[in-house]
This record gives sequence, C-alpha cells and structure tokens, in this order.
Amino acid sequence: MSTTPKMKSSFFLGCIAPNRYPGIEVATIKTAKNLGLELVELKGAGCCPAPGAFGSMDLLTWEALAARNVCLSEQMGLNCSVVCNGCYKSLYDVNEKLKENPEEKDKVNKILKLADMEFQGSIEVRHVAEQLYNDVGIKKIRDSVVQPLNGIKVGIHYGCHLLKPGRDRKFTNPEAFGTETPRFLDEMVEALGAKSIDYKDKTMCCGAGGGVRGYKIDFALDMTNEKLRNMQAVGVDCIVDVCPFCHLQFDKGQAEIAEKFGDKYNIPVLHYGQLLGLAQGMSPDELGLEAHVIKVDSLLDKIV
Amino acid sequence: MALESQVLNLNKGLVNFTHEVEKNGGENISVCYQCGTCTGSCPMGRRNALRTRKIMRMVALGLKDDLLKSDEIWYCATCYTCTDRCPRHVKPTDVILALRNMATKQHLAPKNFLANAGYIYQSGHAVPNNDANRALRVKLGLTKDPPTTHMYPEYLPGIQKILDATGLMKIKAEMEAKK
Repeated sequence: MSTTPKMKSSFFLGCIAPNRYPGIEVATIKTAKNLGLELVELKGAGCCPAPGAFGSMDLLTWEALAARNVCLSEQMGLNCSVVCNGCYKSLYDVNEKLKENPEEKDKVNKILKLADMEFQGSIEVRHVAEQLYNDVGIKKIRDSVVQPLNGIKVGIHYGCHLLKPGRDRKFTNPEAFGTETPRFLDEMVEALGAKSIDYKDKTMCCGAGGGVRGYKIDFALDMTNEKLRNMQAVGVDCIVDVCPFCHLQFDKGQAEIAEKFGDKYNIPVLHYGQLLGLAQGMSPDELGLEAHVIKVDSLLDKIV
Repeated sequence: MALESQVLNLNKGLVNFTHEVEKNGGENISVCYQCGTCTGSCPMGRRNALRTRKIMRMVALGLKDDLLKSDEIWYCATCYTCTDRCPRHVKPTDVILALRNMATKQHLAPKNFLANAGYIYQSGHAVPNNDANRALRVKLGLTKDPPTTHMYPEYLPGIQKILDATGLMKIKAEMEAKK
C-alpha cells in the first residue's frame, strides 16, 4: 500500500523489556523507525498486567488494568503496539473482548471510572513483529539490511500468546500465522540473511508462563531445558524470540539450568528487534547485547 | 484423588460449581468427550502431575473441593495448546484459570501470585526497575526510568483504586494476616 502515510503507534513497553532488557526497547524503536513505523511513548502505562499471574487471581482485575492501558492509547488516538507475547495476550484479548461484549465493557468501565477513564473500543492492539510482517512487509525488511547475517543458524521461538489460541486470533494469513507450523517469523529471520533451522517441538512453550516460573521454577526450567536440548541438537547459533519473558527464560534460564541441572548450552538469545538491529548495521552495544547473561561474541564472530 | 482412589459419589458433585466455572470462561465443559487431546498436547504434564483431561472430568462432575485444593491447577503454564487443539472447542486453559480464580477467593492461591499484585500496587509494574538496569538504560540512550508509571507516578492512584475496587488487595491482606 504505497499510499499509506507514515505508520504511527503508541509503544506499550510492559515490564521486562524496559526494566530487565532495555536493549529490546531501544532496538525495537530504532529498527521500526528505519522501516517507517514510529513508536511513541505511552505515558503512564503500567504492567499489562501479566496474564498468567493476574488472569489466575481475578479475571476482572486483569481486564480492568489491561483496559486502563488500552484507554491511554485511545486518548492519544493511536493504535497500540507491544513487543511481548504476554502483553499481547492481555491487551489484545481484553480489547477484543470488551469491543465484542457490551455487558463486560460496562462492568469494566464502572471500575475504570474510579481512575477517571472510560474504555471506548476505538483502537487496535498489535504486536510489532506481526506489524512489521503484515504492514511493512518482507521486501522492505530485506531492503533495510546493510549487514546480511551470513547464514547464521537461528532457532526460532514463537512463544504462545501471540498465536494461541488460534480461534481467538484474527490474522488474515493462516499459513504464516498458523499455530502448528507458523512461518511469519521464519520469513522475517531469513529476510536478514540468516537461516531458520527447524527443530523438535519448535512451537512448544518456554515454560515460564502461567505463574509457573514464580511458583515452581524447576518445572519451568525443565521445559526450557528440553527446548534448549532440541535446539542444540540441530546446532543453532542463536535463539530468536518475540517476547521478553521468553527471552529472560532462555537467557537467564540458561544460567539457572546450569546451576540446578548441570546442563550448559551457551546459546545467545536475541529478541527479533535486536537481530534486525544487527542486520541494519547497529552495534551490539547499541542493542544492549553485552548486558545479556549469555554472551553473544560467538554469534558476532560468525556475522562479521 | 477422587477419580482413582474411591468410588465416586455423584451426590458430592455440585452442578452449580460446573456452571460457575463455565460462566467464568470455561464454556462448553459439558461437551467434553474425554478424548485426551489436551493431556496429550500438554508440555507441562510431561514432567509433573498436571492432567488436563482429569481436571476437565472433575469439573464436569462438580468435584469442587478436590479441584480448588489441588496443587496441580497451579502447574499450567497457560500455553493454550490444549485450547487450540480441542476438537470440541472447550477451553481447558480458561477452565484452569477459572478454577484458580475461585481458589484465590478461598485464599488458596500460592504466595507469589499475590506478591505480583503488591508490586503493581506499589509501582505499577510486576517487574519494577532497579539501579543496575537504570544505569544500562542511560548507557543505551534511554531515560533512566521508562515513561510508564515509573516516570509518571501520578498515574499510580488510578491503578491502586482499580486494585482496591475489585477486592484483590483485600484478599492479599487477609492471606497475610492469617500467616
């Protein structure tokens, strides 16, 4: 759509990106800008709130706090973009539910009134990754590459809440966004000159969600360990995710797994925004990669 | 648990309970034909005692107390694979969330869940900023605090009013008082 004006969204940060992996925040803003998507501050946003934790305790609290975040974006008259699958679950699901269900909307609005807010249902919630694929397109992503990634082998981790449950999602391209064998991220990674390597149980969860990381960390890490084993078996050079919580689970999780179970992998973990940043010629320091628990030097040696 | 260790007394079952779970997001429970796609698809159940099909059956039979007191309902990582694959369009993940909601009202939620509510009440974030991260943010050319409730605390009272109104903070306080 060549007539589309410059794209602009509010940028909902969530918690883990700004407060644990700010490299993801900066990489996303800069790379999106290079592709004509302007992400502007969403002042006063908070936690999405975490769907596993809050959805488990009280669905109405989850809906009201998520709707508050959506309202902030409505007040700016902008669609809202997220970089985290968990944030997507909260903001997208609640936004759609309240748009479709007037009774639930009234219930939530009664609570929001206490915060001087009212949910209108006037905007869309998007994940930056699908926005880049659907609105910007693979060709423009490819054209933005100045440092092709030299065929590095990438193990893609889709995570859960962007795509599942598929019946509640409205992606118009079922082949790319299917829940069993999604392709959109594979295409986006390969557009940068990297190679996406298939591995066993590729669409499996990282293990962190649902409050399990907080309640039973050994169960959560055992799942992560299984995914790492499957990726190591096919020799990936790095893991690429689109969710800071999965990102933390794979990055920090590798140190925890080494300590608890004695299994060592040292596989660098990058959010797609950071991989795109490298391909667009940004330095590892600029993308916050040196702050990751798992060092990325082995990967960088293969690119340059 | 009831299904294995004793003859089921169906009078124990509470039909209202099943309807309540359905009302709270677990719609269509009654059409579950126990095919086991949920348990077979569950990556978490492969490493612990979470058995989604069993939970679905226990809900249909109205075994409220056994379910709300079970530790297993808290093992689900909410990956939604069971919900995505269910041939009967039942939503086992949402059934489990509904059960957790009911357990929370009975003060049976694990502590770490309530702790999240506390962090958000205080800061707006379940994972708040810290000094090491502030330094990293500045190094990356970002503001030391993100433009969220961290930079604009005037938005916090709105969040606190919401949390007070839904009763979640009261549950948290009651649970803490008991300990």
